[in-house]
Amino acid sequence: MADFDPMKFFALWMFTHDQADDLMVQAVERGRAGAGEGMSGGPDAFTDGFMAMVAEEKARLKEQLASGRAEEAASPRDERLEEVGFEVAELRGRLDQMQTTLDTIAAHLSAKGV
Amino acid sequence: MSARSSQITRTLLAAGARATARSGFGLASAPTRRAVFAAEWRHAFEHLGGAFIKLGQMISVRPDEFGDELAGEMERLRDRVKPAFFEGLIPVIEQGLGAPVGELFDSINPVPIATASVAQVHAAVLAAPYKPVWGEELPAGAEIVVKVIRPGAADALRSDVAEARRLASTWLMRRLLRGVDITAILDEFAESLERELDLRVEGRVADRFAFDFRHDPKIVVPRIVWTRSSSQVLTMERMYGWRLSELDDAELAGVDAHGLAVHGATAFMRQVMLYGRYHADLHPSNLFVTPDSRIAYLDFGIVGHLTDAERGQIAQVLAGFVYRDADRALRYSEQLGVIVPPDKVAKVRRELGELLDATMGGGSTDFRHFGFGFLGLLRRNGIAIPGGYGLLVKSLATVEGVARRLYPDIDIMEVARPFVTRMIGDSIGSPVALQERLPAAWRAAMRELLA
Repeated sequence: MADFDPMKFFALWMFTHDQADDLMVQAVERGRAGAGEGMSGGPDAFTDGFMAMVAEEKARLKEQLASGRAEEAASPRDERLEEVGFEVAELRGRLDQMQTTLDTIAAHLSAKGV
Repeated sequence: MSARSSQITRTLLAAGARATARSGFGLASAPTRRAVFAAEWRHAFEHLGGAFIKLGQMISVRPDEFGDELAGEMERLRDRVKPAFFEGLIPVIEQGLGAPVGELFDSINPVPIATASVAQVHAAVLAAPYKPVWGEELPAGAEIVVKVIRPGAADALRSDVAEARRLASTWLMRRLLRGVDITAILDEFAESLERELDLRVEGRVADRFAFDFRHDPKIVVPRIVWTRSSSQVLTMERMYGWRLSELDDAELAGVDAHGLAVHGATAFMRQVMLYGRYHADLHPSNLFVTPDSRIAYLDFGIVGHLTDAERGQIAQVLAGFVYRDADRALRYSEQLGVIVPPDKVAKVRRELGELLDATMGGGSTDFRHFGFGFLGLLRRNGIAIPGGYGLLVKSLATVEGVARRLYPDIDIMEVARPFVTRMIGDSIGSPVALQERLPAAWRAAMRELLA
């Protein structure tokens, strides 16, 4: 095996990154064009569309970082709390309705003198 | 044979005879014949009323089983019934809620604001404040509506279903409905009718929708007053605005029509692909547009339910449609129960590709044309279509129609594209999906590199 050549190694590393970057940029461009009338369709169209959205997300992220704003997103804990809150409220709704049914039966029985 | 039974038999036979004559005794082209028969069945169902209105509404959401012509025609079915006298409804309200009407509500208007074969709706005023399951408290004096099952409606509907079962077993009907599993359809219909006859089911669905859309200020769902509700009475907040079917240009000019159309379509996709519960009876009279440019959902009689797996598969099928990727659409349709026999895969794939290019390419898309065309394509190739799949395609086509009523130039697939792309992108990030897919992705990459 030939001696390790750092220059060649980093050149290959840089080349791979350049290629990947070019391919990504091309996919983003195709994806953006595909949002209009020019979409060719087919198996690669989804990947291109996805990459176009990733680029939009990146632009948003850069903007957020530049402005120093933290990402605003509901935490899973908040979601779970709300879900439990709804379940309790739904149960209360059912109890309200059952109470109405009980009152109805009671009124019916008292009208019959039971 | 009862009078009703004779009426049903007579009406259906007359409709069949008229359709046969109008279609030149079978000499007219197949599409003309189907259109003529569909129109006659619709008139007959309208004339018969009762369960036949409900059956027609169910047919209208099942193009997979009954074909596009009949489903499309049944969309035009109108529930024309005379209002029931309010005096006749009072016992239903009082027996359901256990107190005199005067004590239950601050006031109730005896003139109905909506009438249908199953129920009638009256405007009223809430007597005491009520904290609903979700949302702000409704104060005393709040405007509400009271939906009441019409007296005798349940018995009449059940008796019509029994009659429909008897008729379906006759030789003539079996011949007319060949290829349709009418027993299964009537079983499903009877089950959905029983759910609709218990108004508490609708109230619970409304509560759940209100919760699902809690962070969306553009969507409104009426709040249910459970202390004034029973199986036969449903009391809810009154919504003001215009039914989509009544919206004219002047009113449209006052609201953000484009924004509402896009938002309405996205809201439907959220129901299907995020929440797994969707309003499956969307038509212009079940949607209100409020003066402050919000969408109010009404009438949760027919609701579709999806599992987590189905939600993901539907997102993939939709991605196949919007990106005109026939392979993706067919691969995930198979997981939803659309099984294409191996000897037909190439043909179906080619026909689907052609249909996608014809209806979903070139700048403007036509999902209705595509969706019904796709169901027709499957039928022509003898491929069974699961009920839920047909209902979903129909619902999407309806959403497109509803959105176009608000904004005629809307391209529903342009709305769907970023939505499904993000949905699928999000699903890729889950550890389970990564664990499942990374080995294959790694092998594919290495195979390509080392080829």
